[in-house]
Amino acid sequence: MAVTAQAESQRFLTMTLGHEIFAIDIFSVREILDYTDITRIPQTPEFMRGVVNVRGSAVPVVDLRMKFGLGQVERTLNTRIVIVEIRHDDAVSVMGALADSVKEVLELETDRIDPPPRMGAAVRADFIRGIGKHADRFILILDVDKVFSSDEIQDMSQMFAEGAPSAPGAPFASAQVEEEFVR
Amino acid sequence: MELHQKREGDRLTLAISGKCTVEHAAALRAALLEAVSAGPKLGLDVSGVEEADVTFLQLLLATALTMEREGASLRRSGALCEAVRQAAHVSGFDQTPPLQTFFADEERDG
Amino acid sequence: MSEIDPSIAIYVEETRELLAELERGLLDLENDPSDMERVDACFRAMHTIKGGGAMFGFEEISRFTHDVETVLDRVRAGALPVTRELLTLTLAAKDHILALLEAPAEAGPDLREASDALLDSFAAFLPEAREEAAEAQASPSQQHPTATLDGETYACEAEPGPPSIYWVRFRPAPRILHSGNDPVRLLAECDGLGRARVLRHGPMPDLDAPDFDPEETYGVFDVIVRTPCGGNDLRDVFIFVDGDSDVLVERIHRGTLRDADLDELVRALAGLDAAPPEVVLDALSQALSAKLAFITEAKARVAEKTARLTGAEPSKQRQTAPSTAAASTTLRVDAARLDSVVNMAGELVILQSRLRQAVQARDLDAAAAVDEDLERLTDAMRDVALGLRMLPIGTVFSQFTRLLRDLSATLGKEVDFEARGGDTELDKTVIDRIKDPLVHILRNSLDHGVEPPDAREAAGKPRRGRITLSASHSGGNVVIAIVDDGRGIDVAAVRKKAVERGLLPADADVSEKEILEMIFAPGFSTAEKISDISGRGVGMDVVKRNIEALRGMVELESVLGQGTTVTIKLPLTLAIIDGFSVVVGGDSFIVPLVNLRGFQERFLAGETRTVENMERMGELIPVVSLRRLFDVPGDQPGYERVVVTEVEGEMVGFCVDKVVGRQQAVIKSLDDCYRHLKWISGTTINGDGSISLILDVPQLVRFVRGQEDSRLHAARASRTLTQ
Repeated sequence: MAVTAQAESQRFLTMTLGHEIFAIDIFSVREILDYTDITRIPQTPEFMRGVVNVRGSAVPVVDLRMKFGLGQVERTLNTRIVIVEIRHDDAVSVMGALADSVKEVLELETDRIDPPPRMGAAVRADFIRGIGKHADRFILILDVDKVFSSDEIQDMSQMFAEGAPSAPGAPFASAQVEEEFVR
Repeated sequence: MELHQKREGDRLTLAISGKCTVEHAAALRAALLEAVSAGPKLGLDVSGVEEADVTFLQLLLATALTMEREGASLRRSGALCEAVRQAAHVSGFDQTPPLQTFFADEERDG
Repeated sequence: MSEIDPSIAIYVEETRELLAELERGLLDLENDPSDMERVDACFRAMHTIKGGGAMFGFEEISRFTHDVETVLDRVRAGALPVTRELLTLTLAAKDHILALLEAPAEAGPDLREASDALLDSFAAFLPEAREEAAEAQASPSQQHPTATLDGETYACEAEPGPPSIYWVRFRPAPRILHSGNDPVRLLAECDGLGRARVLRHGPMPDLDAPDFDPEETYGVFDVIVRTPCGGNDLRDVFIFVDGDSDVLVERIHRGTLRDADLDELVRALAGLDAAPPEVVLDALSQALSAKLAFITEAKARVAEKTARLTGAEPSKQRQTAPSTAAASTTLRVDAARLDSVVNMAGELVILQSRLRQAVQARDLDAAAAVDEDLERLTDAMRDVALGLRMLPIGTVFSQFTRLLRDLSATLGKEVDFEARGGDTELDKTVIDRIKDPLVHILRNSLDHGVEPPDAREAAGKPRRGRITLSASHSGGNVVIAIVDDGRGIDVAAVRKKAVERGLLPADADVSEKEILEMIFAPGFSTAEKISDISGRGVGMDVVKRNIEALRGMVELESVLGQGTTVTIKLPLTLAIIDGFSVVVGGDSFIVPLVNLRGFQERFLAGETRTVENMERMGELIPVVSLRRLFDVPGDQPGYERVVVTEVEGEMVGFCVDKVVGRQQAVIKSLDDCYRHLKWISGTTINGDGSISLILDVPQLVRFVRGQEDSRLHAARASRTLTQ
């Protein structure tokens, strides 16, 4: 569903993570859920909060604030789960993003969106599609496809599974893995 | 499919030729409806029909039934071509009472 | 006919199935060349393929199959023996038809050349003059003195014996033309099979009726046909419309009748367009018996023929209901299963009204009773619904017969292949996905296992090797075993290779079984040279991975010099799992019933390790704390339940806070980003909307073992360092 910028202006959903305001393309957003119990999946990084039941499917929820290193989301009445559709290697999958709050749908003129700064932004530059400005505040526009298809999410095995060699009698796992596993 | 109307006094002859298959069924129905409403003396010339499927035969039967209801009868004018004769024969349409005379060999007036 | 005609797709699909059937039949014939029923089935398959080919514009298929069909027909008539040569040629023809079927649009010159080459080979089996064959075939029908079919040739092969009279009722689906089938053309084909009289009756709207759709087909066609062909030939005419239109073919008389008699029979049908078949058959048999009384009388005068004629007394013929057998072969789903679904749906309606009454009366007891019944019904319905997806695994087995036949020829080996338990049913998805792994294992058995004939003789074995493939049910699983009597696996060689590949430390103390397991490790291949047959870069690791993706297991056993057995265990279905729901802290898991052996409890004091031992029936078994393994937040309770499971013959306990109860879990796969968590086979959504993780116990045990190994290894390493 992600539609690339063609029109003069684009619509974005804005949300807050800590003190930052982020925006994602409205075309990527499938729905917005109130916070509900998230089923924890063991042996996954902490920012992978688990899965929620979205009409009968288990949808992974990512704590973006934690992933971006902005601290953990405190659950409040305003906490929301934004369900997005992402494209990743031709496949479309559904993921949830935990947000401190969801603000509004904004229309931003395409030529008012600036390229991301090389450094100094709150999150990794390649996750940012651009910077917009609204009501005197800067808004980081996230590249949803990139954020959710990043290696840390799509290949958690890099970080966690090496501790489990598949063939018995082949013990070449190191103690370091165990350390990572329990962190 | 091609249609030609020929009027001689109150006698109307509709000549149907070419491929009379499902693609043309709606058009043929419209033409037949118009011809039927023009008067009771309707003749059909099917000698130029090259291909006929069930829709064509059904339209003949429907026309005959409708004319019977109006107290008229459907006449054939011109020869019976092989395509129509064969199609009507294998499917039993030539033996349905409203069409029996239409398909009978003797009646020929054109 | 347009390019995008959906009926073409149906033809392609059906032809594929027919070709598979043909192949099965041919391979069966190889074992039993005298099985004339098989010959017949092969012929019919070819006949149907040919007919459809012409109808759907596969001209080359139609052209090619013509002579093949003729040859098969000669076999059927007993004019040709079933020979290996003929079977090989026909198998090649089958492959060629498949190639033609899959060729884009027009068959290219290559394919045409291939057709011609094959047809040249087939020509050797064709009679020198076509007329002679026609006469030879027609002769059986001439035995009967009153047969009046002479001089007329029909587009079918004569059945032995006298011709028969059939009643064909064809009620086209209203939109039959939209699938490219013209009833007139079908009836013309029917007409081509014999002397036919047709009655078209039933509804026909007036031309000006508002609901008259000139593109739809109305009414019923009743055909009385006298034909030297069989009922199947008549049914074949309607084979492509059978699904939507009503087609009924009944033999009403064995023996011939005059044309005028046929007219009379047709007249007896007038006004019966909406009557059920029994009524029509009654009317026909009345009309017939009047005729037959007269005929019998006439025949009685021909004294020496009398006895024979009474044997063909017609009025009871229809009770044999010849159509049932043919219908069941085209049904994809067992009709009994469908029936029970329908019955259950009916029960469901009743339960619903009972529930409504209970609710209106606010009668909780009554509602509880409904709930109980509903639970029972739901269980039963689920079983039946899943059964609809079940197919006998034999559908893939037969392809292997061909594979091994061709492979053994290529490899210069002699092997008998036997497949057993082909009627074992498995989920369609599982069947589709187990085929490739099985092919790989069978190839390995033949290529690496079974020795060349001379080597076998030298080893004191029969020259012909033997590979057995068997399938059977065992608990909630299907077990597939591939057994060969080849040279077996040299454990020492495997070990050497594993060490060379760095998969095993040279001094590792591992059992034979564990060494055999190495064969499934990525990057392992024992083949000394890479051959055409196996070892094409796809190793046993892929086989293992594919089987595990189906929640299955694969094991190897081998005795050097005597043979190898590969055992695959597969779950019956991928959709639902029966298990126990357990809770640890805030997490809930499903332990599949297949792995479950019992429950115990333990009391804890002080710190625990992730893995400890506890006593069970006089033995110490490892016990894993799921709380510690999964870092479940919350306090460790002093009392825990232990879920005892069995994996590969070993007992392993898992400690949980609470066992909630038995649950049937509909498996939902977990997002791909969690694929590294092999010990989760999926998730399930509970009644309250919460989510449980379904544990893959064998993988979990493997995972824990890996953890423990690395922990011990690390401990040993650090000890070595401090020394």
